[in-house]
Amino acid sequence: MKATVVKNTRLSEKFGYLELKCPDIAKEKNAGRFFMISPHSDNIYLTDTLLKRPFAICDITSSETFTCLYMITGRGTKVLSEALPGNDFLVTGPIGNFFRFEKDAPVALIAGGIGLAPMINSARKLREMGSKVTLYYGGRSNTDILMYDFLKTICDELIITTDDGSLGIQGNVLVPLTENINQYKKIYACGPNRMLQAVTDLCSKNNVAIDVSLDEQMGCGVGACLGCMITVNENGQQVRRRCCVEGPIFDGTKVDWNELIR
Amino acid sequence: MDRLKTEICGVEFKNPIIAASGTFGYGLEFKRFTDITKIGGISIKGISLHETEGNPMPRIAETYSGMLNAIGLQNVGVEKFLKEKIPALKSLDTRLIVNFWGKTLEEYVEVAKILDEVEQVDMLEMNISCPNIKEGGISFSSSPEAVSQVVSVCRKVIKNKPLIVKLSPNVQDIKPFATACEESGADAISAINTLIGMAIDVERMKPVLANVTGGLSGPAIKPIALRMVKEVYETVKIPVIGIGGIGNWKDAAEFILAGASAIQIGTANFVNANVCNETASGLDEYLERKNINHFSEIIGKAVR
Repeated sequence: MKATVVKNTRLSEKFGYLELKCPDIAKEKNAGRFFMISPHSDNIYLTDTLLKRPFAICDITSSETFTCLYMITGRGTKVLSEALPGNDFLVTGPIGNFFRFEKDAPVALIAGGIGLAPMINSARKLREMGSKVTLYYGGRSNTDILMYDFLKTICDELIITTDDGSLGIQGNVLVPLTENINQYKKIYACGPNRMLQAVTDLCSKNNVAIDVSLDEQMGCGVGACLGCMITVNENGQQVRRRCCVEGPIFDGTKVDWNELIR
Repeated sequence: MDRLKTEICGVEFKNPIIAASGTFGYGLEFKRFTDITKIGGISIKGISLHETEGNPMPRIAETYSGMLNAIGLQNVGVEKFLKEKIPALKSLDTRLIVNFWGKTLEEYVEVAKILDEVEQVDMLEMNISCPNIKEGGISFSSSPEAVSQVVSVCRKVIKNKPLIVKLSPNVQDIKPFATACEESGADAISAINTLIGMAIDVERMKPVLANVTGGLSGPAIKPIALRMVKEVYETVKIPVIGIGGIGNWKDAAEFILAGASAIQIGTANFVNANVCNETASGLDEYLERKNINHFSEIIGKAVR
């Protein structure tokens, strides 16, 4: 399956997003699912960066198009960051489970860094349901906080934190979240594993439910290779689940964080 | 596509393209993304007597034009496989090869016996070449004598299905291993499994894989695989199934020209879920363009 680049928007030196045309993925109705994209344009079987990479479905922009937020971390994302309109990429998706939102439940979305990606679609979904949208979004400094003005338009409450205090509250998302945690029935979070573990701890202490969206090195993205296993506790037993098809969303309190934090 | 219709050890295949073990799960994972019924056959993830948990994470790493894996033969075990996986495969109009392995000779024999009786299974593929677990077959690849032993004992209990033996490339000379397989009663040889490699995360200053080493697959290993397929082809009379870095029809044609009677596609399924079917149609077009009535006419043509 192919996706065609409609637009490539650079947000900063490190971040940007692609708008891709692929009706099979754009028709996705749930938030939190992802797709795999091969970082070679025009379907040439370039093998240098061999495997497909998982990306969250960030925002659905029309019945045929959606966006994918990227952070340049290696060779694959560098190739994607240089994509031009009209380039075709091989994609697989939509894949994985999704966030199950309840109407009018007091919830908060938490994003750390590139973990913002699935939260844009989530915010849209919550608003569509008529629920209040609260997003906590943390980064190292103001240059890591992406699309601030846009986020204000899709959230009812936007709480920004930066480690250096250059935008919003100084510190990480835990700082404001600790104060407000008792307001919420459930938290939905995506970001670095250390942040997710800390948010999970906070939720556990306050009896607030938490779903985390995890990222793990993936081979196939369809559940065949068993490369992306997440260890979770199910009925008192440690079991391995495939991040790609049984995830990427897991109950944070069940995840074996020690295995994920390397 | 009559040019591609073939028979391997008495089993008819629509085409000589097979999805390789370990990359196609239990057969249905790719169903949403490709038409499995058009693929010649699928080789199921290595099955053992008991359910196996596999290695700790991380298990995979991308490398230049390839990937390392150290999954560690995680599988549901033969009992669950028959109960939960096989029934769903019934409707799949493709040939079913079941890859199997054991920690001991006895386990190899036990699992082979059970699989030999399963109606839906067309062929068995003995894995003596997984580099990722100590007892997972690789020890049976340590010498041609060890190979003879495990192949012979399994051959005795496999009465209904053709037996393919999948060879390891992690040997000085693959030829005596191929001979050992043929002399011990193997019906075909598949080659190659992955090459042992490693990758290091320079930030953490540690190996990327929890298992330290893993099996290298993908386009990076294709020239080595092609050379080994040629060597096996020149050594034995039984059919050779070529595996190693095949990602398109051209790669498949190279393996056939080197002596392969069929080919398996592994890692490339991850890159392009439809690669098996695209390879089959590309191969067909190639044969038509070359005025070749059947692909078997060019098996080994480049090395004869």
